Amino acid sequence: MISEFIKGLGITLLQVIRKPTTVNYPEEKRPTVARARWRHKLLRHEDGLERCIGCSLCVGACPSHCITVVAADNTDEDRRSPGERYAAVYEINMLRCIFCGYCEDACPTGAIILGPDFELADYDRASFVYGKDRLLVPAPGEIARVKTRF
Amino acid sequence: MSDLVTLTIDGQQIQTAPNTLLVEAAAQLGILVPVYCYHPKLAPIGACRMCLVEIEGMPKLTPSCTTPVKEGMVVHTQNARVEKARRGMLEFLLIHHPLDCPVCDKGGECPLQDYTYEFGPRKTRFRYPKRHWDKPLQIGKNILLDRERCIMCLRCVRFCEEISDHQQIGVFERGHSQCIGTVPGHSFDSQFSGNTIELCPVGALTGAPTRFFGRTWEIQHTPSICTGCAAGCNIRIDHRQQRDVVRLWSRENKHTDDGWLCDRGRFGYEFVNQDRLKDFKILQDGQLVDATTQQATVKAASILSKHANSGSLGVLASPILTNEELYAVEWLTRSVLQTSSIDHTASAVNPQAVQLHSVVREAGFRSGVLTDIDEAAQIVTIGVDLSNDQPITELRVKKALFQRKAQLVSLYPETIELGRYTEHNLIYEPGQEASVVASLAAAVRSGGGEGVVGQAARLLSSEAPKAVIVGWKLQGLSDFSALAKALGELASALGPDVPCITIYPNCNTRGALDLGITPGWLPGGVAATGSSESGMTGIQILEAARDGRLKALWVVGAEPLLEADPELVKAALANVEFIYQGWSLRDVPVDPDVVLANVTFAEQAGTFTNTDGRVQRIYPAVKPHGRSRPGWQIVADLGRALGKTWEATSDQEVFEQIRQAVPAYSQIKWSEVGTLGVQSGASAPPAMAGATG
Ligand code: SF4
Ligand code: SF4
Ligand code: SF4
Ligand code: SF4
Repeated sequence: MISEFIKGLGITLLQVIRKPTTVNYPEEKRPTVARARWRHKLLRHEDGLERCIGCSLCVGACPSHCITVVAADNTDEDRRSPGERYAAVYEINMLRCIFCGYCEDACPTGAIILGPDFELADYDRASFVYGKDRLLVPAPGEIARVKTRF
Repeated sequence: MSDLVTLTIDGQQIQTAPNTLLVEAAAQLGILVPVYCYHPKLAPIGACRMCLVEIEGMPKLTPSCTTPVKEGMVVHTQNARVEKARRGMLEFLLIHHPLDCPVCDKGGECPLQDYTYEFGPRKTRFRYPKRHWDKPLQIGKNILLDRERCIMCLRCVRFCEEISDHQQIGVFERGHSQCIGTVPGHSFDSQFSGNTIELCPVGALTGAPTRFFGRTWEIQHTPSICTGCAAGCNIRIDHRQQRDVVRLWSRENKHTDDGWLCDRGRFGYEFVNQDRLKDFKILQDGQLVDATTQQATVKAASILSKHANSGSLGVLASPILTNEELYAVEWLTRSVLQTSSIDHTASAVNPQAVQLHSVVREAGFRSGVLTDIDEAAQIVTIGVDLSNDQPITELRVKKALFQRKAQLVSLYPETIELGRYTEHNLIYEPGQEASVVASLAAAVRSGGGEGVVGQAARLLSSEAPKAVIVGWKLQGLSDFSALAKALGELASALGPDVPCITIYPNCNTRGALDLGITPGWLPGGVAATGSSESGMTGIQILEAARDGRLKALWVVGAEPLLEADPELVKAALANVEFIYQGWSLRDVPVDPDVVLANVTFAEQAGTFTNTDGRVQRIYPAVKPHGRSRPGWQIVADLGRALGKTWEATSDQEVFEQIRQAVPAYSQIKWSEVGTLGVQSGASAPPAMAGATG
C-alpha cells in the first residue's frame, strides 16, 4: 500500500517539474501550423487594386452557404479591381463557416485566402458577419484599420 | 402515313415529316446535336458549323441544321469523324474567346461552356495574343455588346431582320475582324432588343439594366405573367433567394407571347424592387406615420363605413391587380358599402368602350383569340397602334405578314409602324372611327370603290380568311353606338365567322371588366339595375371629389391616378378622406389618410385575364416587403372590421367564388390553369344595354 502511495506521489512530483503543455493564453501564444486555415482575408494586387472580381465562384463552392457576393460595375472614375466587375458586397458569416478552404480553391484570381488568425470570439451574433471592411487587407500606404485583429 | 420520310440516325430508325431538318429529327429521337446558330424560330443559315454530322454516301460532313431529311438517309452524329470536327470547331471558336466566364453574365447557362466541356479540346494550340476590342459597348438603351465573346452565329441579326424587322444591327468587317455592330447613325433601340439577349448563345449581348444580376446558379425561377400590357406574355421571374427580382425571362406560350417579350415588359420590373411600402400607415398631425395592420384597417374601415350607402364614396381599382384582388374590392364596394361608383380607369376614354369585347360580339364577329392572327390571310386593325398598345401582338402580325404574306388594312388616325407593310392605311380624324368603318363596310359590300377605302375594300371582298383587331383607344369618339353599328355592318360585309380580337390597355383590364370594376356592370358582365345602376366613371369620380360631391376615395393601386390630369388628381385627393392601398407612394401626389400596404404581382398567387380572355396564373416569386399583404386579404380584413365576414382563405378559394360569379369563367378548372392558362368562355352580357354614358 505504501509503495503504491509513493508511486502516485512520484507521478505527481514528476508533473510538477515537467515543462507544462499548456501556455498562458492570451499573454502567451502558440505558433500556428504553417498552413492553418482560419479567418479569411481578401487580397489586393501589388498596385492596390482588389483581386476579387465578384464572380461568386467561392459562393458556389462554399458547402455551408456562408458567403454573400453582390457584384457591381467598375468605372474609370471608381476603379476597385481590374476588369469590368468587382464585389460591392462581400460577406462571410463566420458562425457558419467550417474553414474548409473550398472558397480559396475556387477563386480564379487568388483573392480569398484563409489565414492563421483564429481568434474570432465576439459578443454578439451580428458581428460574426464579416464584410469587406474587415476582410480586405489594407491598400499599400493605407493605415491599417484598428478593428482588424491580427 | 406514306408522306412521312424514314431515315436512320445513329442506328435508330425514325419517321418524320418531309422538310424536317436533320437536327430536329435527331432531337425527336433525343439525340443531342450541338448548335449555336440554329434556332427553331429563325431561318436556318448554317453559320456556326457546330452541328456537322456524317451522312453515308456524302464525301464531307454536312451541317444538320440546313439539311432536310431524305428517305433512306443514314446519319451518324457521334462517330470519331464528327467528334473531331466538333473539337476543331470549338477550338476555332475559342481562339479569340476571352474566357472571362467568371465575370460573364452568361456563365452557368452558356452553351459555349457546356459544349466545350462536353466535346471541346482541353487545350488550345493558339500561341499568339488574342484579339481585343473595347468592352462592353453600349449599343442601345438596354443592350451591351461584348464583341470578344461573340461567336458570329448571327441569331441577333436574324432576329432583327426576320422577326422584328428593326434592322439596327448588322455584321461588319470580314475574317478575323468580323464583328457585330450597329448600323451607322443608329443605336439598337428597338423595343424588342431584349430578345437578342436571350437568343445570343454566349455572353456577347447582355442586358444593361440586368448587368451583373447575380450568377445563374444563384437565382431561382418562378413562372409569372408580364404586367406591361394586356397581351399577358408569360414570363419567368428570376430572383435571388426570394428577395429582389433580378431579371425577367421569356416563357413561351403560343397563345400569348409566342416566345418573345418586349423591352417594356422585360425591363419594367423596377417597381417591384424600388420605393416599396413596407408598413401600413396613418396620417397623424399632417405626418404619415407607421401603424399596425390593425390600426390602419380600423381607421380605413371607419372612413368607409361613414360614407357607405350614402353615395359619397368613390372607388378606383387598378387594372394591374389580380382577379382575386379585384373581386374582393368589388365585393366590399357593392355588397358591403352599397356604393356604385367604382371604376378601373380614370382616362378620358369613352366609358362605353370598356365593354368592347361584348360590342364586337354583338356586332356579329366571333370572339377572337390572338392565335387567330396566325390563320388569317387578311388582317384589319381598327383604332389600334399595336407597336405601342401591344408590342408582342405586333410581332404576331409581322409574322403573318412576313412568313405567310398576309395583307394588312390599318384604320388609325396616323401612320403606324405596321403601316410600312401595306398600302391600305386608312387615316382619319380622331373620333371619326364610326364613319370610316361604315364606309369601309359599304365599300366591301359593293366590292370596291374610290380611293384607299375602295382599294382596301377590293382586297377584303375576297374569300381569304380574315381577322379583325379592334383597339381601345377611342378617346375622341363621342357616339359609341355609331361605332357599334358600323362594326356590325363590317362584320356582315366580311362574312360569317370572322374573329375579332379586342386590345385592352392594361394587363388585367379584361379581368376588371369581367369582375364588374366599372360602373353599371356587375361581375360576369351583368348590367346593374336599381340602386347600383348610376355609378360614376373614374374621371367623374375624380371631378366629383374635386367639387366636393364625394367625401371619400378608396384607391387601390395608383394606375388610374396616372391616367387623369395631374392637377385634377391633386385637387380631388386633397379634398376628400383618402384611403390608399398599393405598393408604393411614388405616384400618389397627396398624403393619404390611411395607407394599406399591398403586395405586387411578384409576391402573390392569383390570376390575370389577358386581352382575349385567357385566364393565366401567377405564382409568388419573392417575399412580401415588410408587412404588405395580398389585396384580397386586406379587403377581407376591412370587411371583418365592418362586420361582414368573407369566407376565403386561399387564392384558390377566391377563384372558386369568381367562377360562381362570372359565367365566362365557370368552365375553368383551377387545376388546368397551370402555367399556361386557360381560355375563358365568351362572357354573356348583352352589349350596350345599361351601360352608362
Ligand atoms: S472556408 Fe469553406 S465554409 Fe468557410 S467560407 Fe470558405 S468555402 Fe465556405
Ligand atoms: S473571392 Fe474569388 S471566387 Fe470569390 S467572388 Fe472574389 S474573385 Fe470570385
Ligand atoms: S460566353 Fe461568357 S460564359 Fe460563355 S464561354 Fe464565353 S465568357 Fe464564358
Ligand atoms: S452577338 Fe450573340 S447572337 Fe449575335 S452573332 Fe454574336 S454570338 Fe450570335
